[in-house]
Amino acid sequence: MEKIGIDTAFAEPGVRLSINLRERCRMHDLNEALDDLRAVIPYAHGGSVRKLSKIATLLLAKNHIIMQAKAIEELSILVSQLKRKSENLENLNKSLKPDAN
Amino acid sequence: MYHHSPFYPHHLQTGEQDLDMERENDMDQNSKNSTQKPVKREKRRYRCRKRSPATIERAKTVRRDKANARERRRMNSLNDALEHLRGILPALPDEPKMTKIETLRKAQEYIASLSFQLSGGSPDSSQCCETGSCGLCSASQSLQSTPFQSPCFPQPLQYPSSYSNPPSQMYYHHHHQSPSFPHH
Repeated sequence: MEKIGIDTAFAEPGVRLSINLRERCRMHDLNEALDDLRAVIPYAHGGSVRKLSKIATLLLAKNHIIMQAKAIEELSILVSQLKRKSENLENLNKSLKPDAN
Repeated sequence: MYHHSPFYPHHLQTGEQDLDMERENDMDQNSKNSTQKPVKREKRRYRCRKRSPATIERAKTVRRDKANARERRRMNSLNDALEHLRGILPALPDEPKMTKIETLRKAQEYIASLSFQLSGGSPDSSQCCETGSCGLCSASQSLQSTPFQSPCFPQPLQYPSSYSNPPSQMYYHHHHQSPSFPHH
């Protein structure tokens, strides 16, 4: 990924400037992505005064993902249990019905 | 001399010549008691110690070293938190490690898709969200502007009966075998 040799790169001011600009853009993109992450974390974006710090958003994002995954798993277990119960009830209902014909 | 004792803080031991001068002055004061009172008061007036330039330099490097160590520790904790996030995100094992910006973006997408699932979306929404933006993802974006509400259990979910494997199990080959709440 070498555009110019190492020596000339520091001699020409234009290259230095473009390197600086690229780094600034990179940092800007990084911060923007961090802000987007802040937006999806609960209670971090409600008009409260202080923006969440870098380390806080990373830790909270991890915890939030863990919590959501656990909630989904519990819900799906509950759903399968409920389905089983409703199926049992239906079978019970059907077995009681033959007299209706 | 008390400043040679092991209880005296080490980084101050280098300033001994200054302290020696002060102590000598003190002893001189005590030997000529009668006329020295104004000088003694004057000596006690200035609170700051006289430091040799060498001592000042040493103190500066000590401060710099401490600041460097603090900053290094802060960066390490930041990188550790990023690493934890990397471990928890869905990623293929043969992919190279996610870059910083990749993990941030993927984390945001993943959280958005999980939230969408919890709010009553289809179970497949997580798969399509991983491949990029789609109609469902943009719908979940509008959900994020409202404060997050914990899932309400009484709401019946329209999952097909064949759906027994929760998506979370696919994503845990990196880190945990079972999701657990970290207790801080």
